[in-house]
This record gives sequence, C-alpha cells and structure tokens, in this order.
Amino acid sequence: MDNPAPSRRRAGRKALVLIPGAVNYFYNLCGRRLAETLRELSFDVDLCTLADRPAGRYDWCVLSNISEVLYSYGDNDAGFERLRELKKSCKVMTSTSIDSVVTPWYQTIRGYCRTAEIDTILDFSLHDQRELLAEDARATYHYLPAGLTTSELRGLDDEAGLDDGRTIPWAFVGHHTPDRTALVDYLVRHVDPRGFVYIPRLAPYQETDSPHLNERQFDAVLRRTRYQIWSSHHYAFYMESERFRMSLLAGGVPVKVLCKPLPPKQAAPFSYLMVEEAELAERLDSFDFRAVRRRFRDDFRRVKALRLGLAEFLAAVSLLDRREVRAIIGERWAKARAA
Amino acid sequence: MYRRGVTIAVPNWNHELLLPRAIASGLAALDALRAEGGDGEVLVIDDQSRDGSVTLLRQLEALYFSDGLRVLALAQNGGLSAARNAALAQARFRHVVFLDADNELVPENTPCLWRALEDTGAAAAYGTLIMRTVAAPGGFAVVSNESFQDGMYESSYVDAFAMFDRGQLADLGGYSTAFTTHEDHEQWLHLATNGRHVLFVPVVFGYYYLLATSMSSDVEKAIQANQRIRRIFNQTTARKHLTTATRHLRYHPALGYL
Repeated sequence: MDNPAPSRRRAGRKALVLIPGAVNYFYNLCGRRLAETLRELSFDVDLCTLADRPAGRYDWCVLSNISEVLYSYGDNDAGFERLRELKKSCKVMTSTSIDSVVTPWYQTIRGYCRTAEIDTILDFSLHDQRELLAEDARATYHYLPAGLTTSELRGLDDEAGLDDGRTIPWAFVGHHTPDRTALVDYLVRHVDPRGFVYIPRLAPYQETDSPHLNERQFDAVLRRTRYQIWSSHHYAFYMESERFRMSLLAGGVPVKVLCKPLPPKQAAPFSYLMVEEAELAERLDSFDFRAVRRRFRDDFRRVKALRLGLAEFLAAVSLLDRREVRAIIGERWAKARAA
Repeated sequence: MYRRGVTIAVPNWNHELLLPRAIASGLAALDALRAEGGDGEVLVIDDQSRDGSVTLLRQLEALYFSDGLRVLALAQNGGLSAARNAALAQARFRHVVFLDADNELVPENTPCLWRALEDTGAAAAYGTLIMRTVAAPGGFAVVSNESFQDGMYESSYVDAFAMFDRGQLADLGGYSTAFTTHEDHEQWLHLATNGRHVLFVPVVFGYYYLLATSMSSDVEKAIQANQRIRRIFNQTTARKHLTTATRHLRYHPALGYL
C-alpha cells in the first residue's frame, strides 16, 4: 500500500485510489498518476488494491478501473459486497476507463458501475466520446482529458540524450489479428523491414512470464524507437491515450493507423499522427522525425494538464472549492505569459 | 574452427519454380550481412529432385558462385532431416539458417538474428514469420511470433525457419531422421531439454508460404508425430515443474534481453 507521510494537508481531504495490482499495468499506472495529482491537490491518498484497502473514511474513492479491480480481487460477488461497504464510508465513488466506449469492455464497466451504484465513469481520453454513447449512457460519462502530470510536464523539458541509441525505425506492439498481420506486412515491404515487431497471441496480461511486454519493457523499446505504430483491434475511432503518452515520454512519435478516414467533425488533437494505411508509407516518408516530434511535444503540452482536469471534476462533485480551480488556471496563464 | 558468418541452407525437393525466390532472398541477406561486417554463403542441398531443380541450380550456381551460392546435390533421397544434417556437415560458417525452398527471408533482418546469437552465445534464434499463400496479396497470419514458453511442450508454434549455432546443433546430434514430419518441433524440444538457449528476436525474419501440398498438411502423420513427441518430452506433464534455461528468452541487439 502506498501512503507516504503527507507534506501538507488541508481540511483533512482523503482519497482512496484502488488499482488492480497484478492484472494490467495500464490501470496501475493510471492509479499512480491519479494519486500523484491528488496529492498536489492537497489530498491525503491511499493507493492499494481492493483486498488491501485500509479501514477509514474517504472523500473520494476512485477505481482504476472497476472491471480490472474486481478481476484482480478474484471473486466478483465478494468484491461487489466489499465495494458496497466501502461506498458507505466515501462521499463520492467513481470508476475510470481508458477504453473506446463502443467496446464490450466499456459496457462491462457500465454494468459493474450500475451494480455498485457508481454514478460516474471518468474517461481518460484525448477526445470526448460522449456523442458515441446512447442517450441513457451519457449521464454517467465524464470526459477527463488525458493530460500530463506535473512531473511528466517537467520531464518533457529534459531532452539531453533523447536520441542516444534510437536505432529502431518503428515498433509495432499489440496482440495478433489478421488485420494487424497485413499491416505489419505492409510496413516491412513499404516502410522499413527492420522494425520491431511484437504481435503475440491474445492472452491475459501478467507482469512476468506472459507473452506481453510489461511497462518497463515497453518503455525500453520505445526509447530506442522513432515511431510507435499501431492499429486498434476494433473498428470504431479511438485514440489510445496511453500509447500517445508513452511515446511522448520515451521521446518518440506515435502514429495511429486508421481503418477508415477520420470522422469529418471529430475534434481530436494530433490529427497529423493518424493516417489511413494506404497513405502510411508516403506520410512517414514525408516526416522529418525531429520536426514532427517537436510539434507533437509542443502540442501535448497544450492538452489540459491532469491537475486542472481533475480539479475541475472534483469541484463539479463538490470535493474541491472552485477558488482552487481558478487558482490553478491563474498559475497556468502566468506560466504561459512568462514563457 | 568455423568462419564467422552465416550459411543459409536451402534444402530442396522438387521446388524448381519457387527456388529462385528463396535463393534471391538468401543472396540479398548475404549483402546485408557483409554490410555489417559479416560474411556467408547460400548452400542449396538438393535431395534428388525429379522436376528440373538440379539443372536450374547448376545454372544459378555458375552465375552466382562468386556471390556465395553453392549447390550440394545428394546422391540419395534421405528426407528433410537428412538434408539439414548434410547442410550442417558442409556449412562453412558458424551460424546456419534453414530456409525451406518455398519460403523467403526478409534479408535486412538476417544480421539482427546473427548479432543476437553472437552477443549471447545462444544455440538458436528465430523471428516472426508472416504467413502468405501464393494467391493472397498480403500476410494473413503469423507463426514463430512469441518466445519459447511451456506451451511448446503441448504444440509447436515455432518453425524450423530460424538461425542456429551449428556447433551446438551438431553436438546434440543434429536433426532426428526418425521423424519424417514435425522434426522441427522435436528439435526445439531437444534443444530446450538439453539446457540450450533459444532466443525470440522481435523482428520479421521471413515469409512462410502455405502450399496445399506442403508436408505439414498431412493430418494423420501430424497426429502420430505429436504423440511420439509427447512420449519423449512430456509424457507425465511434469515438465512444467522443471526449470528450463530457455524459458521466455526475448532478445534484440539494440535492447538486450527483454
């Protein structure tokens, strides 16, 4: 359990961040980032699995995400019972999601939230997916821009040695599907045959001894790679925010391959990094790697920072004073003017 | 003892019409190796073909001998394992790729596997193979796309189309001629259970062409071979309790072990 001694506390605000633990590092990482940001917002934070959660009362309990948390708990019925008990000692309980809302996984999150009587799903995404939801599903949906934490923003300023050993032209990592095989074949034949290719069978994720790359291994690959290229394993438009962010922090450039053109009115950042397969070779050939990476890094800095996005949500559910949100916005403007 | 570099061994039996593709990819792989300080040869072992392969091979050998193409025409038909063992005996270089005559290499990635074996001293390295058919315009499936894991004792997902340290292979007796199919599965388990390291290198190593008349499409033979392999290597299913030096080894020269 992660509970460092608080350096400053205001009005005893407490948050509990529940993570899956061993199942899926994406959601463990999401939980850690939330915990870091909550501490900056003067919350006292406990970060742990459902099985290890301490007794106590909390202003906010956030599950990263409810499906993964219950899966790692091992017994859904007992897990729901534990959540019901926990809800009695929390003012607000929320689940996160890092999934396309048209996938079965999001529907599962919705179903579990209904069972646990959780009113809000925080969607960590780079684009608002509300319009893709049926009317009855929109009430529980809250778009939270997948911006950077304060430490991540600071890390972007350090570019020393960014291209040391960056010899791999592109990397394709994701479980195997026939469409992805065809795409890898295209990359080998038309872009550069020396790409890093890792397309294992679909299997449950484990930190070690599974076909998958864990967070540390994937980061090691991305730090030596220019372009991270991938395609979704479903056909809806979706920006996998974790892939964009991991490429950013590893000093590379993400390129999402679309199976159809971008929806005409789709408001999404980094449209220049989303390409249909037929144009992929030409687009990559046209890129000056350092220039497109500079543009990507500058554009990501402009995505609403996690601290502000989270503060706005917490103010909306009355866990934060709106004056604190205005103070954060004021800081941002001051920093932008100074720059 | 062995020269530093790679012998690309191409066992051939009646694949006259597909040989040029395999040989061209092999010769291109030699260019890629030489550009990185290595060397090599393409050694075609003809197993008494009847379709005109030998005539074609001698012509190609005359044209490309100075580029490293050699042809070994066997006096008797001995099957795939015997042909591979002949390649092991005749190869001039330390590392050997077994490239079936109906497949092709991605030449630019041959140096990547070679470096992986030189760096680590492992017995073998393989990379992802994209499966195609003659008719299909692009790849539709993959094989050899994961590291060696315990599931290999149940069924094989790694093809023989890989790179080997010929000394380590020869030390263990080469390919078993008792198997007329699934000899590659038997060889992988033979390496693993004898303490040798087998690496998965995450690059596309080559293209594997699925032909209707390929040896692997004989279902009855496959069942019998699987049963025999299980009897030799995994009859009590106790294998999972034993440590295996080669479990889950993934290596890329730019990254080290993953």
